[in-house]
Amino acid sequence: MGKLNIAVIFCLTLIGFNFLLYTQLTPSNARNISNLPSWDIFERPILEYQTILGQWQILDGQAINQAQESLALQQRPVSSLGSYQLIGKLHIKTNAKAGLVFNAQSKGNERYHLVTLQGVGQTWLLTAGYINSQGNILEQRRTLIPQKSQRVQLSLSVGWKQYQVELNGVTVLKNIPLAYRGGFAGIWAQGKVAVQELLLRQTKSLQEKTEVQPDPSIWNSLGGSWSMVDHLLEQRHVSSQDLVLIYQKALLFQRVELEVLVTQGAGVGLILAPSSTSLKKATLLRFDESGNHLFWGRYNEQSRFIGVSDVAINKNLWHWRHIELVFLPQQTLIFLDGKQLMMKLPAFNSTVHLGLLCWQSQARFQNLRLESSEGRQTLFSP
Amino acid sequence: MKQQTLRWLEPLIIYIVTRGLLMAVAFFADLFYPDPIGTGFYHVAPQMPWLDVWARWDSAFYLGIASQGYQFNLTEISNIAFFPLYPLLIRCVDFVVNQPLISALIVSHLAFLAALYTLNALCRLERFSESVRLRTLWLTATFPGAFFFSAVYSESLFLLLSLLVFYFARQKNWAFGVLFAILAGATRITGILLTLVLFLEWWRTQPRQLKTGLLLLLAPLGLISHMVFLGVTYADPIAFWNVQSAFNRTEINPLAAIWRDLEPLITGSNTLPWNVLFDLTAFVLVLICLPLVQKRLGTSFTLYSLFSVLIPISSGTGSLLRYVSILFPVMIALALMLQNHRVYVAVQTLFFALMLILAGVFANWIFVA
Repeated sequence: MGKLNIAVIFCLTLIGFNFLLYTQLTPSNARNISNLPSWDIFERPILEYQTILGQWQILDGQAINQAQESLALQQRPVSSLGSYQLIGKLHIKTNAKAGLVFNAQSKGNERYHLVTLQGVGQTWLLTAGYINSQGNILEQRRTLIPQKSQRVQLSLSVGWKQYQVELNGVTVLKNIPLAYRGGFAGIWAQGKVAVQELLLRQTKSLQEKTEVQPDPSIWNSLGGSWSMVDHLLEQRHVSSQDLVLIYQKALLFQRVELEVLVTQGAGVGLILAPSSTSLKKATLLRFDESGNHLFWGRYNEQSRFIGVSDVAINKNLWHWRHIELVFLPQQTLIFLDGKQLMMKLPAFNSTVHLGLLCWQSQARFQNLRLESSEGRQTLFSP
Repeated sequence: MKQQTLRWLEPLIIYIVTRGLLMAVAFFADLFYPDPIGTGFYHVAPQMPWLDVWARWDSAFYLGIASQGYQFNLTEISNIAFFPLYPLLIRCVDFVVNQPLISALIVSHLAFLAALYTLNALCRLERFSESVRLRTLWLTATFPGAFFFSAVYSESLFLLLSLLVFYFARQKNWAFGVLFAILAGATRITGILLTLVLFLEWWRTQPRQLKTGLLLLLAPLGLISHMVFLGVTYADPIAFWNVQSAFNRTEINPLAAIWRDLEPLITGSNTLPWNVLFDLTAFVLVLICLPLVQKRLGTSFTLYSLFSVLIPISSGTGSLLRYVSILFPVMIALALMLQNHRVYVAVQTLFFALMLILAGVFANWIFVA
């Protein structure tokens, strides 16, 4: 075979492969997800709810169907980077209830955010909340909206830390806090309801890079992948090693405060280390694996951790927790969510490096504020 | 003339016998236990149970990519972990067939049949005896993990592409060797090892031509193309690697991975799951065969076999049985080892029986590999 022929085969293979890759395997920006086959792929092992497959006709909004309590979800290509909009065109009869639901937790799929509409007379009762791991619906917000028609367009604009609800294009609920939004989205219904359409639309380009690595001249990573997304520091990699991001500059602290949101596991905390390159002789304060205790201890010369003391706390996962350390000449006081704990850390009368730590966990950090001999500074905040 | 025709029919006969029996066993195993025994089940085509049994576990990811494209969420199990060539071929066939499961099985079966013919040709090229050639074909088609060649998995396609790379490299047809290495790199992460194979084979040639060496640099283009695609689409060129933690695969060294599996058995704290036993046995089998692979086939075959197990084992021993089933150098070494006819028949019978049993187990949603 001639060289020219071989070159042509090469080019055709490469161009063909790449052409097919970009045209066939890239998720499109807007898709109708209501008419895809195999609704039950992935759903059945996850959901204990009755799926509506086979009992509903999710077609043109003409067929109103009766459902006891139903939930249908579809795994969708929702990137971890962009925000998205979930739009449902619904027909809800009086006293029936329907809404949109999306996956809320990163692992285990135990919780879903849920926004429902219920027709009460000439009014819509709109509620936003979540389904917990026991399957109970817990309400976060509610509002009443005049009802003009039983046919509505309910839309959720889902961002990184919050989402908002629009009804027929008008924003009705804003800034509903969000711990995590995952790749499942769907509908929830009770009573006589029909779904005309269910759309998922990205509102931010996937190509747009919103995350950056923490400045290596300021921060030193002792493990893990740390990234900044819109002034929110995140550790995504889960490991049984101590994953630490440590501040390069040693400071004589007077006060340190930050907020932390644990999205997986519970082992998240703070480090105060003599060195910015190792954990030798560092002091650690962190939540234990269950999230029921806060403990502290020290790393020895071999960087092996030895616990000293712990204190029981209110388990409050999935909420931003405020940790504050007040450095006094004899001791260091610990405040959790504004309340001082009985447990205290020893005094730090020489300069130390501040670090953030994750162990078998994922977490987000924000509002890290320092007061030291060099004055006040905010390292990152939204 | 007749004998020559019969020789050319041998791979086809092996294919028909093994695949036919597998199809029957999997179907009846599923029929015998109508309710799923394992967990996490789905049915891609419940109206075609004889085909549906071949879409289990990871099959949904390939079918998902083929029908809906990639989806990526770093912290969740998502199909981004899987490479694109196999689902792309499913999609291409599906333009005509219009049934993703049937399209996937067509790709898997055609690739496996072609792989048997390529293995046949490679054995002839290496001048193995007729008995070794035949035994290699049978062992490849009946290895306990060989039922994956009939499933909606990329195993058969990768086996074909890796065989083609070795075949053309041995013939010093570098252009085609590189071409198939590119395609293999777009099929699985271990496809990148075939670049190493090509370089090792090229290094053996005398005189070495620099122009050829430069051509070999194109071999990783399959993997690079995929990484560029991931970078452009998801801003993460190694998303397939980063998402591994969601599949409970963590980066550890191979010894730690083996120890993690054996520790409960040694310390008596727990029993060894049967599928892990298969994985570890497959790994030991590779280690036993490697000296003979080195002696009879050379460094490229040896390193390819070794790294093909070390790369997956670096994140856990899970599914090693499946990864070993595509290691044809190990099958050749086994065929060379089993010179005693009675021993060969015993091993072959054991392999065949295990493959059929595991296929039945797989059909019933019990995780094998």
